[in-house]
Amino acid sequence: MSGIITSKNIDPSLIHLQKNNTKSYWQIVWGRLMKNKGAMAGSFILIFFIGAALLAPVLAPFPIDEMKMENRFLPPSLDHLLGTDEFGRDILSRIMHGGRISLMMGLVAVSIAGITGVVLGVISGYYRRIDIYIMQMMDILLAFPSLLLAIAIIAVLGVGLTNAMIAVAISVIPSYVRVVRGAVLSIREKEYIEAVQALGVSDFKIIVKHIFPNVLSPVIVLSTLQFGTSILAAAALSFLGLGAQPPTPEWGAMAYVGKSFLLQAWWMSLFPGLAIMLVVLGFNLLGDGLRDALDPRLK
Amino acid sequence: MSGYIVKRLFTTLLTLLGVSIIVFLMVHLIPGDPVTYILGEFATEEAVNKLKSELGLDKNLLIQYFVFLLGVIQGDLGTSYITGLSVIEEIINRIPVTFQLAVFSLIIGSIVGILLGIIAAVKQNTIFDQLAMLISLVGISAPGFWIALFLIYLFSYLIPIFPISGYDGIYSLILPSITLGLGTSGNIARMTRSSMLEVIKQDYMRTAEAKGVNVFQLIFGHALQNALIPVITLIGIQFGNLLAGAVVTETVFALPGIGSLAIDAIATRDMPTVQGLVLFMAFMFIVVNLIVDIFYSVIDPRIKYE
Amino acid sequence: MGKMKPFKIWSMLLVLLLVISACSPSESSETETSDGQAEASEGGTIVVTSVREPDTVDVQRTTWVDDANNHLYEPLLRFDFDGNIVPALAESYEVSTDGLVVSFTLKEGATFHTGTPVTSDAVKISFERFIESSPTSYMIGPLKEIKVIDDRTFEFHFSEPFAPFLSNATVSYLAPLDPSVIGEYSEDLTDVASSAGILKVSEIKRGSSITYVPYENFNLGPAYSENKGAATFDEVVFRFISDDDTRLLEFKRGNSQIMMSVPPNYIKELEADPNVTLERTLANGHVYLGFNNQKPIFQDKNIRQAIALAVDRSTIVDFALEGSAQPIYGPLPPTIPGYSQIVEDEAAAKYARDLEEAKSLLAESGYSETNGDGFVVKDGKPLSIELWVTQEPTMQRIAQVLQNQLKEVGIEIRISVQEDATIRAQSPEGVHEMLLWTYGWYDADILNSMFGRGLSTRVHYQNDELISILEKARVVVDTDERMALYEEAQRIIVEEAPWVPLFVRENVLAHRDLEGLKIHPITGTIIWSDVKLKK
Repeated sequence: MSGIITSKNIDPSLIHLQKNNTKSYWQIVWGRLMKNKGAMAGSFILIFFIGAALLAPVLAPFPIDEMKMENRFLPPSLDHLLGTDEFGRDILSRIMHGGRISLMMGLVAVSIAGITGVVLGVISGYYRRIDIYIMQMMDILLAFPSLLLAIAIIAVLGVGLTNAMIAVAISVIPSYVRVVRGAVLSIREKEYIEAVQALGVSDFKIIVKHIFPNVLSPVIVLSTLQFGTSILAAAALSFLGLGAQPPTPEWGAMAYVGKSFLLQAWWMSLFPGLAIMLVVLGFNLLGDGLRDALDPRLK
Repeated sequence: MSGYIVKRLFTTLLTLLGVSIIVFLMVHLIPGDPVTYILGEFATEEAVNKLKSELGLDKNLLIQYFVFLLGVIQGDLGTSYITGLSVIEEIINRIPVTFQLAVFSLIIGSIVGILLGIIAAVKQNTIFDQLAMLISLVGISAPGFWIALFLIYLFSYLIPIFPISGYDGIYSLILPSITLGLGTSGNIARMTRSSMLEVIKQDYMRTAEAKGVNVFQLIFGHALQNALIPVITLIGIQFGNLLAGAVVTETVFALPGIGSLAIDAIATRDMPTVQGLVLFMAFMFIVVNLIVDIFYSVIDPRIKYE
Repeated sequence: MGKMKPFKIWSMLLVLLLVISACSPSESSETETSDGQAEASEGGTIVVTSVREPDTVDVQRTTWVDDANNHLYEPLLRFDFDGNIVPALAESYEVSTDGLVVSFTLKEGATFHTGTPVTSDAVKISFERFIESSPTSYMIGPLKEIKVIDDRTFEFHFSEPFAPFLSNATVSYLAPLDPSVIGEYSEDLTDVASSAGILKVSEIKRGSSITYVPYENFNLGPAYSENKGAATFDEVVFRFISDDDTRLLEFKRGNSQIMMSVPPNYIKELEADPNVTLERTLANGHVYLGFNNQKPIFQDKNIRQAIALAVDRSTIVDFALEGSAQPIYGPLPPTIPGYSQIVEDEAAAKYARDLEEAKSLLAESGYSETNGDGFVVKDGKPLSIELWVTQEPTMQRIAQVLQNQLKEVGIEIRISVQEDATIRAQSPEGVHEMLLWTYGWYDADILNSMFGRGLSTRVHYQNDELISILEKARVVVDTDERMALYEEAQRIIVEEAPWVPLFVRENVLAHRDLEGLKIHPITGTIIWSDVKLKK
């Protein structure tokens, strides 16, 4: 966190804090975050799942694609903590590996949407003449119910993990544009921007040095929340059979397969669904905490 | 204010036009030839060409788009390749189920959400607040398909009190509505809470409190009716979302609504149905948002069109 | 402004609730009456849960026929339980010695659902609509004209002999429609379709169900059913539930008496239920692993045969289909006339799983080295093939087992899930590398559709010798001669391995609380004549 302490990072609304205090803005935010129980619980959940996913190749008790027909449909036990699936594969191991895919799906979707959305949002907020066109485009995108839009995009691009990520990303872009544009608008009105403009500094420099650092906070909050939403959307697509493909242990896809065996092996769909819920909950808790920490007025 | 409404209507029209272009392009970019699918694999070339010209697929895209747009303006969304029925008729046949599902989910979501929100706001920073917020966050975070699965398992199979699937009157919509309402309730609870908190902190509330108005009356009489304005806006937006967002729920519960129609239509490459449905849902969504916005601008005149 | 009383909001919601509940149909009273007739074995409503809703019940407008839209039609001919073609709506038929004329005589007194008598003219009008506008009109072959001789006799004249015609005439697509409805609603008979079959359309709820009632004047009951007249139940409701699990739960709860297409993973569970009877029929086709033979990699016969040798069918059948299928090695399943036990045995011997031989065939084609992942490589490139699979859970399980089995000989399979419609539309263009697909038909002529000139849309295999045999078999009238040709053709297909036949599915139907339900062993359709609800 302390790596990005520069005076440019100061939220204009918090400038008074900076003046009277030797602590940097981000240290204050960090302090507030540490006190937020929800954020801490969320972080704990996320660290747990991210850790399990990263260390899956080392920690997972069984290989994920080896079929052992004699071990089919074993209920949770000490050998297989979360039971086994229709090919005798260990569900715990698959969920650990699947975490890499689900988290990656969220990361890619948020990155694509975040970068596109920030660029469009900054342009829209800074260059007011283009604003109306970009916002009209965003209104059009927003008019589509997000899951339906994603499904329609997949119908064009074809079924698959990559396409599912792109589809989710596209449906998330407008929310970034709106938030970033709003933030840019409020900063743009600030006197010091006008002062810098009067000094003849180029637009590009102003955007990079003065505008961008200030939209960072809302973007961080939004990204954390959208991370969860994206994972949820991607899982729903996989559950409809449009996302990850077998034998990929993506959580939504695992729950979908488990659905066929609901009555004989409930654990096959219970645990992957639970994993999705916990991770999304983690992101939402952390996102809420970040928002409170970054903008205490909302508390 | 009327200026705002006129401007708003104009941009809505623009949005609708844009939506129609995107929907049209999207559907025509879908790989695969619908004719092959309709006629099956053994069809003669002659039959294929005949059908192509019947469906107007041999014309260029621009002409196809204007034919499509002209139809839409006249309320004609085309004819399904698969069933031969008019798309708008299919939608009209199916919309009651989706509409009822959306309304029920909204009722469940609103009741649960507003109650949770009130509890959280009134008991701010207590365990009740945290619990209520945790519940609403779990509601937002849980995948709908997963909730649906286990509601079916629990209340249709283990304890068979609800029908498992299909549409057979109101009763069969209870589980689907709970599934959909859960996420909605989370959003509404959070909005209610923050909106209530804002109102409670306002001066006139403090005055009322100081005057010794009874707490219950204070919350339900004064605070709630002011705090509910943004919540109603949210409910409106949620309604648009629910109408269209019932895709997964309708699929899992085998409800004959427009969401499951959309999934079927995509699976069978029924281009006119996909096109008509997406356009229709977007239209509903835009109209609901328009109504909400106008409603909001009427009750809160500070809002102006930028 | 903006001071809406909370009370007002709640009461508005309440009113809305009441309005909605009032406008939804309540069917509770009907259910009670059918439950009320507890002792009766006649009457009552039978609910069938089926997977896919037919696009229309007008057979001349669809390419999809199954139990849900089949039984209102009575074709001219039908299969008996042994696979022989016997008269149905026709009392008798005759094929001229040159094979160019097929004449039919209709049964006396047969009527359509509207009461219109079934006459030669009616048949002619119906077939004319079929030829002009049905998407399956190719099924009638090179037909020149239909000659009406008298009220009950007519002749089909062909420009050249068309051997598959008689088996095609057993299928509902070629069943005559009621000319009185054709006249009025020529374009689309979706809601008014009328024919001469045992069931009559009563109500169609799009997206939900089709209800049939027995046709009261039906008198064409087949030889294999006891009741030759109208069925005795009150109505049959086909409910469409594409979700396997929901369909099963509905059936287990007793909300439905017949469950179509029992998914393999539920068979054991249903077998254990004493109230449930399972009916199994072998499908009229098989599921195969198809190569795109146009792709350079599959022009190498060694590669095709190596894959065929690496496949272990019994594992697939046991664990992906829970045993509800029969492994197959030859091109035709036992349910299609033209199946040859000899060819099947030869194929089974040739392609019994042999990993060593598969590996040596691969080595022969240059894939002798293995990379770090265990896949064979040639010129530094691993042998990696994309496999198209539909979204059906069973197919996806099969694909995973195949992936594991082929890995054992060093072939990498990349599973790619495609929508059914995409595979249908894209495979004729040859975009795919391999696909997991299925076929089903009643006549060995299906081999011509699979491998005929310009017709090989799934596997893109063209072999002049094979094509000439298949084309000859279409015009040979003598059955024995025709079957001998198909045996020859099958031997070529087995040797060349343009595909890997995997198994013949058992179509499993579950029923409960019913008496007299039979499934036709050849066509796999329900025979309704003797069906009664148990008390």
